[in-house]
Amino acid sequence: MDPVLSIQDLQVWYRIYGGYLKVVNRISLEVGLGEKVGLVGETGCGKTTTMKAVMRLLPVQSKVPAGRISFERQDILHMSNTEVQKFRRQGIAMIFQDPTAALNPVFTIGAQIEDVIRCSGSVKGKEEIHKAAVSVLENVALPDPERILGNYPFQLSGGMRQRICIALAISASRRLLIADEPTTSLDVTIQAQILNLIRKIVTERGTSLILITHSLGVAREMTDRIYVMYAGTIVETARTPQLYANPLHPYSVGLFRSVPRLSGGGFADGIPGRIPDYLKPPGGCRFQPRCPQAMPICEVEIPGLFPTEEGHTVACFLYQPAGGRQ
Amino acid sequence: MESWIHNLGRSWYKFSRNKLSVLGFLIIVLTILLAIFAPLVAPYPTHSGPYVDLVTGAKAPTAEHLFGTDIYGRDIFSRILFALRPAFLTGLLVLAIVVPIGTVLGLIAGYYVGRAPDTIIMRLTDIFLGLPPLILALAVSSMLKPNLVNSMLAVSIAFWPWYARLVYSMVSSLRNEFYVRSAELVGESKAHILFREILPNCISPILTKVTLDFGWVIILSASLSFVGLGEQPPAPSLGTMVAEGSRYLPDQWWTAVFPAVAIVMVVLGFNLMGDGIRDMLSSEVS
Amino acid sequence: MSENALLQVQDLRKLFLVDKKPFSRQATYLKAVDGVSFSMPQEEVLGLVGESGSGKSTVAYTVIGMYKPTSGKILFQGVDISTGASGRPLSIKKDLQIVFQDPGSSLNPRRSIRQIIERPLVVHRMIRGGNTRDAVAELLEMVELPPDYMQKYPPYVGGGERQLVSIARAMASKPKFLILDEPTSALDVSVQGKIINTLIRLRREMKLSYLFITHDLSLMRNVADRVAIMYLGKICEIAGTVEFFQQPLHPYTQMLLSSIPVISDQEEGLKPKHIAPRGEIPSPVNLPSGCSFHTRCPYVEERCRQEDPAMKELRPGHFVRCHLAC
Repeated sequence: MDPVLSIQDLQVWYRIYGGYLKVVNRISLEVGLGEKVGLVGETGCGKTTTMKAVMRLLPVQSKVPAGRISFERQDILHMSNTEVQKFRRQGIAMIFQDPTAALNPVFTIGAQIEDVIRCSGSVKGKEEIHKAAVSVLENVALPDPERILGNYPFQLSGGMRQRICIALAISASRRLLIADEPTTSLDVTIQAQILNLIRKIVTERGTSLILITHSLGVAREMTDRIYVMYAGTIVETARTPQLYANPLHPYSVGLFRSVPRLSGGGFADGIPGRIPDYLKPPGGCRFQPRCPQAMPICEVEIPGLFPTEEGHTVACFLYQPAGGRQ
Repeated sequence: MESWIHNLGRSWYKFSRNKLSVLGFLIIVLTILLAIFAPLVAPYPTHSGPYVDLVTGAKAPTAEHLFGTDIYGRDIFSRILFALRPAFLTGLLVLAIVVPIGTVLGLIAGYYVGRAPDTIIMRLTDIFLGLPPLILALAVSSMLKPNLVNSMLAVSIAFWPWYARLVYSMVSSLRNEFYVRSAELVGESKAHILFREILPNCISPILTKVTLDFGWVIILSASLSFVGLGEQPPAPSLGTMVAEGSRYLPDQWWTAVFPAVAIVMVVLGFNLMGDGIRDMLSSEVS
Repeated sequence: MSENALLQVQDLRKLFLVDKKPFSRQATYLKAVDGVSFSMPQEEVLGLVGESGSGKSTVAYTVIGMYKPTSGKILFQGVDISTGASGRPLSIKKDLQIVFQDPGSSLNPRRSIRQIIERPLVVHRMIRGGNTRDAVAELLEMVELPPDYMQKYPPYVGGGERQLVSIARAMASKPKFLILDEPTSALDVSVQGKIINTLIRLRREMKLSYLFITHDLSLMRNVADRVAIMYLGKICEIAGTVEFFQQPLHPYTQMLLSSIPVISDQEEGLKPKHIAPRGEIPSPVNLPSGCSFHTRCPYVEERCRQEDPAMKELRPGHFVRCHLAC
């Protein structure tokens, strides 16, 4: 079956003084129909930039020197502006990290939701649109939808605002939902409820999901498959249970060791060093300067994704099949 | 050393991304050079003073007199070059008076926001801001003897409140930064907190405003000399030249138009450059 | 207990004026801290855990002196310090220091790291002759940063390193007591380990006490000696760490624990299963009647709506504020 979204060999650069920041470096990624995929990585690893490229939201100083992004066989990178508009309206839905910034403070929630419904063109007539708005809020389990439609964003809590963003995102039926750190700004008890809501909606409608997160815990609860990103590259991909049972890439291993466990027992110092300068990224593997197991070859050659078991691949020469090369 | 050059390069990169800023920068550099070297550049340096030659009076622009001559026969181009000197001098001196006063008052009021120093300083500022700057400057300079120094004083009185306001609004938010809190909790003196912790973080917007205001100060002082309250004749001043020339409009248009264009160019130059300086000093997310 | 207590907080209250009608005595207050008492012996790490709006940071800021308490007492080594910072003698400021959450805002971007770290030494006259170089180098070494960091400016070092500088500054005056206000919540997990492990080491070496403000219970499991949970301005449960995680008694604690996303099945087994996260945190301006948690509590009874429960010691050292807990 064809994937819903497929990214091949994507590069994204940003122009600054002194050259280009090579932020996303040859990423390939696929999302199947109804699949829940996690994109896990730390601050500055390029996960949000990748999704901005998918949504065609990259700023003007950026360029995409290589790569293909196709969504249901449409070539996203070469769409005209009108096609982009239509694609944003009907193709992919997106939930952002900060629900406060995603809502316009000077319009009521009702006005903003009704606008989206009117734009999608599926419902006509003032009464009908209002009814649709009410049912949208009911879908995300917001109590007293009539009152909330009359409220301004500042009158609602962060959790309620995020529910409304989800409501806006799913108001038109979409095939793919991208959630960019949807619960990072929320408290844990609220986070748990929002994650449950996203899981329920995605499962009920058969929507595919890309969850961008820095939290290994959130990714474990929400996804079927995970891509681990480091410094603009995908370093490991596996089905979720595989990854948590047996992380292989030295970066993934370091990450798992630094997470404080509810069972206690302390945690590692983390990974020494920091993400490379994107202006002059290191040669070979981008993790090599921080890697405790670096070998001479790592400085020279970029590791491909080597399969280790069914559905589990690692971009690290430690897992290069014997005899695969010289 | 290398990083110093690197920083300079990056600053210029940010400044020059807007080509208009570069244009403004070039205008200002050129006019400043012309003002400094006026005695060498001006074709008729003696015309800057009490010179009369009624034979060549009121001549339209020619190759000999680029901008024509006034009714006394003085070369307008030469007089404009010399008039740039008091204009820049006024800008420089007025801002040198106004910026420290406004900054210190704004610092104190902003740090004690909601308390007595805030109330006293900022209500005083409000009173000054309530009066149109031109009228305020006119009122002050008409009380004093009309000359260059007193006109500078009058312009200064109109300008300090803007700096007090700017710094006040910055400080009243900066004082909640955790590094200021930290300094308080360590037990730092108020002077250290105000001048070493807070002030350095206000420099960028002050610098931007200084560049933009340079033009405004020149306009205001030209307005004062336009009504005869600035530099007194026969010393050249852009405002006085426009005022005198305007009496012979439209026949001898060049006597008013060229000095006016000079004012416009200088003010425009500072405004365009100010935009560039703001871009340059704004911290960029990258 | 009270003789060797380093810090005692007695019935602390802090109200913030929200709104006052002109010409009227009626005023609306936000009850940020509503009767908090605890006491800390020397060399203890107390984790003060809560969600946003729980008042945990207000407790920290009142203890450090950024706020004056509305009522209640704070005793440090038996001395009453219930004044704001401006009323405290320099010797108290020397012994009581804080590390703030956001390493971006807590270091002045226009001052070099040397200038930042040397200030406490100068203010508290801990240095003779005016040459601070060696002392600053020693403090940097304490947090394992190389001495050439002295010349750098905060914007040019990484977030984790900035937080290490903050710790070095707090340690400069050789304090006895450190308040840690979410010191790692703005940082990536691979950086967090280094910061926390440094703090644990310093505590052991310098015999420090920490009041550790955080929303991260998993982290506290690994760091704290005792844990206190705050909800809407009150402490609702406080106990030794091991007991706290084995036998959480307050329904809110159980709800918090069950909401935490974890990364292994072993931890999943430690989460209370019978309680699902629900509801939103009520506004601290309009506190619910009776027990403030009753709006979200699955076990709520009539009594909970009427009567605010008192703190009870159900097991030695394990205090709970709940009518139903036993």
